Amino acid sequence: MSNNNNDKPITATKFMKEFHRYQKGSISRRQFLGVTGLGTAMAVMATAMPALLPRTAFAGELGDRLVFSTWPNYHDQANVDQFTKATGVNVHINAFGSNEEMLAKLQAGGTGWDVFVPTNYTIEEYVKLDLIQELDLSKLPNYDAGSNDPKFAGPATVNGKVYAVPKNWGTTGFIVNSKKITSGPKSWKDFFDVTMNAGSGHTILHDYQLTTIGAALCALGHSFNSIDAKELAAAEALLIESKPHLFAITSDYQPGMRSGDGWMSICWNGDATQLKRDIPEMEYVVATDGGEIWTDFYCIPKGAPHLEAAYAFINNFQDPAVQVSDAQVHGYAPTDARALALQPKSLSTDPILHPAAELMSGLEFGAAQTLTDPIRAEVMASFKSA
Amino acid sequence: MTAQSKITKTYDIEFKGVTKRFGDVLAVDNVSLSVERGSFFSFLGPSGCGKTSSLRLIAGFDQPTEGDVYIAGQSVVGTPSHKRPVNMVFQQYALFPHMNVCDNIAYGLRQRSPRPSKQEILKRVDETLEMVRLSGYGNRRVWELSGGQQQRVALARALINRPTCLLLDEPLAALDRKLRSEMQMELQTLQRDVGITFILVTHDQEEALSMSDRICIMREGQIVQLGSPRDLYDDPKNRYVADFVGKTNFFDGQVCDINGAGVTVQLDSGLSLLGAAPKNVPQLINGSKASIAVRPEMITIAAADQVNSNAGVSLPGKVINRIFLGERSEYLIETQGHGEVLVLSPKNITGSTQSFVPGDQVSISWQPESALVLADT
Amino acid sequence: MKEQSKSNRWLTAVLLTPTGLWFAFMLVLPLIVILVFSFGERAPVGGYAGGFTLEHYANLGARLKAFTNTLTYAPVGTLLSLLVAYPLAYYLAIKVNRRYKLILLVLVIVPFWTSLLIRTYAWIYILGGKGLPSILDWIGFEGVRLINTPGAVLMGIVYGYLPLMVFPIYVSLEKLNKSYLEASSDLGASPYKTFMQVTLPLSMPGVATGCMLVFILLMGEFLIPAFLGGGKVFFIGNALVDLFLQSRNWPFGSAISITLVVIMLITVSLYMRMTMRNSKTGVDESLM
Repeated sequence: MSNNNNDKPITATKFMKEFHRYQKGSISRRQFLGVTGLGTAMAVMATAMPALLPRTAFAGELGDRLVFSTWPNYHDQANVDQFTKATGVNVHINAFGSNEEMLAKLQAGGTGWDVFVPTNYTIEEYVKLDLIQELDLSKLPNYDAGSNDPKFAGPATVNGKVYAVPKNWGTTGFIVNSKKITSGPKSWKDFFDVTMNAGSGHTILHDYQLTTIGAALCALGHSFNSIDAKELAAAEALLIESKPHLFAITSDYQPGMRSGDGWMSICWNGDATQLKRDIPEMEYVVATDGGEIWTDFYCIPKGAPHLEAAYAFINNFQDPAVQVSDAQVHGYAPTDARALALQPKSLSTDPILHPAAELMSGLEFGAAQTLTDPIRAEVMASFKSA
Repeated sequence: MTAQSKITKTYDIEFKGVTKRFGDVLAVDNVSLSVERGSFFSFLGPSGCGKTSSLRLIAGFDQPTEGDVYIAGQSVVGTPSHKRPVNMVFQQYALFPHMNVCDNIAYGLRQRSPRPSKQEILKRVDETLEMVRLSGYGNRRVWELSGGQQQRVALARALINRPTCLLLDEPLAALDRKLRSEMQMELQTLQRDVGITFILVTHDQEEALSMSDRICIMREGQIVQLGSPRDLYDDPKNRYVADFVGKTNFFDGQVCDINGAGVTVQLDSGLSLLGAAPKNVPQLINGSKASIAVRPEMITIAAADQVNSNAGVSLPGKVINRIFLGERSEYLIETQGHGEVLVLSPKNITGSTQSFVPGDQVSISWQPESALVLADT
Repeated sequence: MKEQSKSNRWLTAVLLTPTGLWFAFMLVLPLIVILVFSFGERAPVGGYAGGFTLEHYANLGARLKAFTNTLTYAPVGTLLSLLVAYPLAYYLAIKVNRRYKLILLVLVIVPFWTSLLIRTYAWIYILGGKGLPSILDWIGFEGVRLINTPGAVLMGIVYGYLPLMVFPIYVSLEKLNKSYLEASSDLGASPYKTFMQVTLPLSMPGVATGCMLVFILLMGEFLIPAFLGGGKVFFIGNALVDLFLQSRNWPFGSAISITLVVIMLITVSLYMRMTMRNSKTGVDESLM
């Protein structure tokens, strides 16, 4: 999982920068693209109009093109440019807003993707649906299985076969503007209490069933991953009760938090790093009553048109130095011990990237069944349309 | 300064030194004129001569750049069109397409304040429909009507307001030839019946001549000559007027002698011809460019071997075309050294007209007093 | 004669084939697919599984709020767009100097060259706490919230759809013969009366077309409510995005789509009937 972004409230140069990013397909956040299906439009455009892509001087045996579907602002552009320079492969980036949306695209078929970045709990389902390929690890010399903590890397192996290699790991908690909310909420229960009282009108929930329903479930003392109909009904009731007090339902919460309209939001830790970098009063909270811990992976879909380039690309980003350089930009920790050893002190001691072990004890990895559970899907949809 | 002067009482429209510029274009150039109450007045000239601009200045669609426009003795400079006591019949009629005939005609009355009663409006509309012979057409859609009928609706829509002055902008241009001459008669009759001033803009000299009491011939924004149709025909001030009003044969040359008998013009061919000088015209001077103008009906035609000794001027020629027009014939004669000459020959009273066929050698002749010497301006 | 008309018919058929195929593939086929889907079951992992059930239609009530929202915001948004667009179109068509007309027209179109997405995104910043509200705050109106309100959604609608409303009205005003206006003034109508009695009725075809265009597109709108309503103002379009791209409940999404198509068909046929009845303003222009 992912995410990111550093928009300052509107300056002309910033907007143009955003716009350029958008043109490259990397802009903005989950919602931004999730809501529009723009990712597909871009993939189609890139396929239909290869002339739009910059030509490089040489096109080696890897071909000249690669389509990479990931989460927004989840990489350091300099590293991508370096890869293009070294291989002649132009990387076309699609940004997606949720695992559900990536799955929807792959199920519909014809994506033209070469590499994409799903989250731990979805991989087994992708294998079941025969949507991703088993990886040929001999083509990924930079990947070192031994240096990856099995806690994070585990889901990559299904039925003894390796289908993915890890990218980053992180947590899902919430962010608080401590100048606006001084009561210091520590749990999801506090989170919803503040939302419906002192902070009314200033809370942001994700437009993403896993985290939003998960947060409500935790607040009610249930598992983040529950698919129990009764528990879900209670979660739905809590969400609907809180709806009039919300500022927004969006996974694109950085602008709202930065503008001062939002005081509190469900938050991924990388976003928290980026927000705190600019606004010191932003405090990231790993809730005491639960939450999510996750790993994102690189995968190759079945029928990827530029297979060799895909391997070269993934291999490039398994290089420990590249992983560290990426992490310094997006604020998510690598899973690779070699990279962890290389990271500067500013990263290794940052509690947002590396929370204390006792704080993480209550966190759960997302469960596969949440991805396809029809009740969860409908709970989210009826909360939104209420 | 008061807008009224002693003599304005009898004039419905007056222009005093009126100039209208559109950017760099001078549309109306220092025009002064008066239109007598109850008369039929025409602006005649080719397109771009300033006649329509003049009409629009009266209607109030444009305001003069300089000078004063008076309607019924009141200066109307600055008065918007909806406050002026004049109404216009537009070239393409401009009937409101979303209204039926009745509503079109009633439109003017409905803008009045206080608004006349429904019955009053209905009554007036019926009267007006009858006046333009369209009784029973009130509920028709305007686009269901023929061109002539639309034209009459346009007239009715304007006349129902009993304007001081009715403005007609090329009202017959859209009609076919036969309908046009019918409508000319009708317009004239109508004008006499209602007795209000009509001001017509046209490029058709026949239309102007047949209907108007007075005609103002314009060129490049200026008045060239203003007078009755007869004056203009018989006494054109210059070649431009003579050319515009009726058909005329011109023989170009230079003035070489002026005396009591008339003006002598030496033609480019070397031949000298005598003609009468027009009245009230700046003096022609020796050496100035001028033309001898002879109306086709003033020329007689005879067989080459039957030259009339009485003829003042005679030229030999050859018939190249003849158009039989019933009571008269039109001949086109190729002369030697003087170009083609048009001759209108009436049927002889005795009926024994000599008629000629193309190829015949003939002699054409006219009396010097029926030839006019016109400056080339 | 008979032979000729037969071969003519043949030719017509041949010439119409590409259009017919296009129509079948691009319009009819997808509609049929959606219709079939709407009676099917949701596959366990999402998407479509065969079968026949009416449960999705029976379940339409679960999106009642989305329907009522859409059916409220679409007409109100259309009306607001009209109120803003008409004066602008009038100014462009009738008042403005010829020399600047083209420039101004281009200025109206230029925003269309950028995606509505980007333009709407800009409004998040303008209406957000550091945008207009901070200026209002400075003047003395504290704590005004603009973003994520129904007002922001309506503003976004007017902003996004303005050109679609302006152009049909502009065209109908532009082709309006100026001599009608002169005739009206000549007959004693003040400028206001001329506008009410001549200009407005004669521009009704443009108004109707603009309203229809905007209304139909608004019925499918999802981006503006998501961005400027903060996801709290939920349209049918948002429900569809959710059902197809998140929860992958294709059959329910299809049932909602079919319902939307039916609502639009009814609206359009009402519009057609209305304009046919009032066609007095439509036909004339060419004949006059």
